[in-house]
Amino acid sequence: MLKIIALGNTLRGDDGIGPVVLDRLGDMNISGMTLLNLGSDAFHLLDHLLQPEPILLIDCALMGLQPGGIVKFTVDNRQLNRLDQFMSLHGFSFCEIYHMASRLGPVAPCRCIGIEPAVLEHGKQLSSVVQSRIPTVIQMVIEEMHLYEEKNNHY
Amino acid sequence: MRKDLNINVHHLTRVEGHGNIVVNMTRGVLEKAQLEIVEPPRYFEALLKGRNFHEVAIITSRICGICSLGHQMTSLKATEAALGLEISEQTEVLRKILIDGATFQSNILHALFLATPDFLGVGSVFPLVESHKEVVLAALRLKRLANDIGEVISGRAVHPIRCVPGGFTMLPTEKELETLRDRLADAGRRDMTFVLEVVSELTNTIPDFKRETEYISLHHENEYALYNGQICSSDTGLYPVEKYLDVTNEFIVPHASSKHTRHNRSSYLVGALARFNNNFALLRPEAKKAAEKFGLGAPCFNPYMNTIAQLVEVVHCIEESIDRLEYLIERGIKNERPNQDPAHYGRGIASTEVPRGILFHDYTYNRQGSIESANCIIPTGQNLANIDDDMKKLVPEIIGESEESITRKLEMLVRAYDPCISCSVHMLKVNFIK
Repeated sequence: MLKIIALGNTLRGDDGIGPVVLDRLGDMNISGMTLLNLGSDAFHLLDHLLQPEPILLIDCALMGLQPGGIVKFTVDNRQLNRLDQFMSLHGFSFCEIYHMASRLGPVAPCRCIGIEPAVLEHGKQLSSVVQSRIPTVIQMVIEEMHLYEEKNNHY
Repeated sequence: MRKDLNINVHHLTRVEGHGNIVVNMTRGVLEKAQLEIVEPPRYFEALLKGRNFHEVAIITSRICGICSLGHQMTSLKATEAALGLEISEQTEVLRKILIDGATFQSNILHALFLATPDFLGVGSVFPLVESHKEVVLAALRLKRLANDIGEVISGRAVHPIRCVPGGFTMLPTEKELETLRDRLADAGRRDMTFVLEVVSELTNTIPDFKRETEYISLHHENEYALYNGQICSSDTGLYPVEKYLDVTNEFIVPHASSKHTRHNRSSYLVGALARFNNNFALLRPEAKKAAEKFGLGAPCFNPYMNTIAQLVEVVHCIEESIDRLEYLIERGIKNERPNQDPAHYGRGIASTEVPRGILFHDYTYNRQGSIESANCIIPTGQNLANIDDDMKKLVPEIIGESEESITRKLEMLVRAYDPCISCSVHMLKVNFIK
């Protein structure tokens, strides 16, 4: 089953986009996916990266795009140098954890939906521009799930 | 020998509290050796005021992301005491398995991911991936196993959702419990044996430091007390949990926003080493054997050995969990509903042992079943005065060593207590003023 994993802090503006999307997906009661909110420390991802089930990660990421910009990509070692430049909003960065997992053993197939934030201040809610992108992100997640169901080796 | 020393480890972040290690010696006189806590108060007791008894344990589990289950268990016990809610034997056994799992999970996290790098002189767990890959993998498997105990019984590994006053909203199946039992008995035991074997060869770097203090934990005559028991002081004996204020005696110091505590001496120690010292006879034989492997005997007056006592407790918790699961499987899971009909309203005081030590929750409910007042005393606060006292003895003993070595041993000392600040100690900046 595809694991949809959200990283982020809902008390820190657009950093909470992942958990917010996850909540919406939970309300939709879609079968065929496991929803996991891992909060704001990517270290918790390590355990999941070392399991065989494929992962779709939803995270706020500073990528140099316009606020609300969305990028979807497959995560692998070739991507890491590029990822290292913009995915460091959490205690342990995703790249550190991915590198660590790569050294420990086979890593789960992993794709990521990154959303460019507008606001990252503590005590703020999602910005209107990022909030407006929620339906798009949900649609992308559903498409990913269908792709996964159609051909398991997509991931 | 050095006469002047000024260490300012500023500050320890990302651990549910910020802290600095500050040591100052002038012309051979130790003027200051203390752990400064600079995190603002969180006002959880105030948050609870007016809350209905159904909500309280859900709120208090948020006090800590690591000990969420321990706070929830203590909270439920305090509410049940205040409202006269009896729980079934099945509920108590399931809660004990949860406490075993939470202790096991947290102890593994601290001992293997946070403290073991000290034994190897490296800055974090990351270099261990290269040098001790199999240990890291075993530690991850053990942590996952402990988390799964929480998920199967309480619905979630962190911030449980099925545990409510009077019982559980949903019960695990016997099949799920059998799977847990088999995993603990097979992979759990095997991984822990391997971990003990490797770590026992790394611990010769643990400083040989001793300072006898007062050790306070729960104590139960029939079992190694984690869920139930009386307050036990190594100096003065047993007290009912309801007398906790006479034991903790909180006071304020200028250098910490967290209250300190003291009882028979200027400070006391809580946590795995206190439990080990006070309850050694009640450990499982397999755990006693593990302690022997590390040369850990009771009483032990070296606070650095708290990490080893944690590993010993993991062995104990694995064995206890297996037996408790076996018991439930044999008698079968009864389809019980939680008892949520208060027999009375008033004050309830409860205590459990969470990984870092003895925890107290004290609630007073009004006749509407809402909180009138609350008090929570957590283990890390109870250890702070003891850490200061340890530093005051340690620094003069190692003053002849390099500043780097002194700083490392001070950091190791604080980390050995497994306070909620230990996960960031590896990221410290140290300033020496000469």
